[in-house]
Amino acid sequence: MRKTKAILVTVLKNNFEYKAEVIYWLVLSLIPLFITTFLWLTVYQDSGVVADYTLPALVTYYIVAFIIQRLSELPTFWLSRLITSGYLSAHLLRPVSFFQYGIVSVITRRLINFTISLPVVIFVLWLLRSYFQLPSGMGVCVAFVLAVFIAVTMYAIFGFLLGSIAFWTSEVGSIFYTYNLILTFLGGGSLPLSFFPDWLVSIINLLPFRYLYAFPIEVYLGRLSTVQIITGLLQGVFWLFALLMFFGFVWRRGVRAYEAYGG
Amino acid sequence: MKLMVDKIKRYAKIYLVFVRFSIVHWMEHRADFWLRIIPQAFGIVATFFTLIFLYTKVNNIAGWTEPELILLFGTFNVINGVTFGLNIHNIAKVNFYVHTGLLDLILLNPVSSQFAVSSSSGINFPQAAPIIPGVIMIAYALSKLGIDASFVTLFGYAVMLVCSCIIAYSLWLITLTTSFWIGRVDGLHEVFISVFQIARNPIEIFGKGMQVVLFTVIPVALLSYAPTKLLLGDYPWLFVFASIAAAVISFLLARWFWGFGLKRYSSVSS
Repeated sequence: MRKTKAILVTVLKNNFEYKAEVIYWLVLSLIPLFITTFLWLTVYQDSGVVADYTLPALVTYYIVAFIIQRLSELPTFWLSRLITSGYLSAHLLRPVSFFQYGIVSVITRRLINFTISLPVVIFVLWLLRSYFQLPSGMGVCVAFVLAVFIAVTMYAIFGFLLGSIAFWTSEVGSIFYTYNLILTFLGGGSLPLSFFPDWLVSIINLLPFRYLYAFPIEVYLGRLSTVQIITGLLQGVFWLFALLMFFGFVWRRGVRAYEAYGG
Repeated sequence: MKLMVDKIKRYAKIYLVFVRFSIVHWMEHRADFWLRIIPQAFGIVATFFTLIFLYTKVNNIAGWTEPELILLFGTFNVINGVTFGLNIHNIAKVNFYVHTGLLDLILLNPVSSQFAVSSSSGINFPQAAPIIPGVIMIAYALSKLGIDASFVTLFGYAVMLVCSCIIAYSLWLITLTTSFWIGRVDGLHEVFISVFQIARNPIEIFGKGMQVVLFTVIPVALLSYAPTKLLLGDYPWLFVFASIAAAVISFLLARWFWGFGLKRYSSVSS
């Protein structure tokens, strides 16, 4: 706990310096949100319900997806740069495990970013206020926060997994965008899973991706029963541990390869 | 006139050398090549299926039927492939050159600095890959729509695609030229990429005022929307000239702006 606190303070100090950059990325990320909203407004001109979503529910879906996206980060470049530049050595010598350091710093960094971007987020909510729905109760809110926590942590682990490719090859840059696109697509971030054909949904249900977007958003919209929420949360935690173990496996092999050429 | 021809010949020769280098590069890094191309393919498949899944629930989007939108998406992918293949690892680096002072090295070369920053790394072949699925989508959509385009229409379409690539290049360079004023911004090229994504959507989804902007100030609508409309027979042939004019204007503007920005450049050390 004391270690975690120490990391927290360091990250806080480092990150309050780049406010302009945070706003810059935020404004950029608004462009796709508005394109999607415009697109859906046109689609709903002819019909009231599409794939069991009403227009307000769907717009809310994308707003919540946007918020999750603002809260999560694939720390891929950060890790790959540490590896290729050799700065990782300094981290390996520290008395905290790199993973603990990584996770805590990613989450704090995102929370800071989110706090800085809050005015803009509120402005977006105000612009779309005639469509935005609020959660139906306190229980839903608590479950939603837990689900978002799972999503954010899972996102970080996925990012670290891709970043550790840098142990073996020097370039991860161009894979990154597609990787993110596929995570978003399979996670239900670009289209709600209700639009997917049944066979694909049954495959996605066996994979961890839906915990990135679809699960937290469906919790928020009140589309899941209490039993579904509880089993979902448990499954999400299970996937976190599974991915964490897989990452540990990759990491150990990577560090070995790193030491091999580091000398 | 002869001087002009000589100059073009010289630049073409230099460009071919750059391209040859990039071919050698990708032949040497074959694993890297596949490592990049496979996720690219997944990305296109994912976006394509987003569209297909959407059409299982709705009949038309802003008046566009499924094959029509596939035609638009195919056209977008061709332009996307050309623009990214030629520019992503060239222009995207401009901000880096400026804030590190590496631009000095480029300015010392006996060629136009705009040419050098736009082409010195040749072609990024994996980034050009979307051209192939793009062409397949166009062919599929055309046969499904039963459009038997005349030679003149196809020629006009091809000319418009070339213009689109020039417009995209110019917009990209203009975005990155702002580096001379704003200093270091990692991922400045993302500004262009985000705006570029508008081009794969039907322009009708935007309001009237926004549409005017997208045809004139930021001519993203001309990139893939306009050529697609020509193929669909919704535009008169004359629109080809609008694209040509836009391409010439945006290229000249980018060229002027680059020179203007360069005047502000004073390297980093001194």
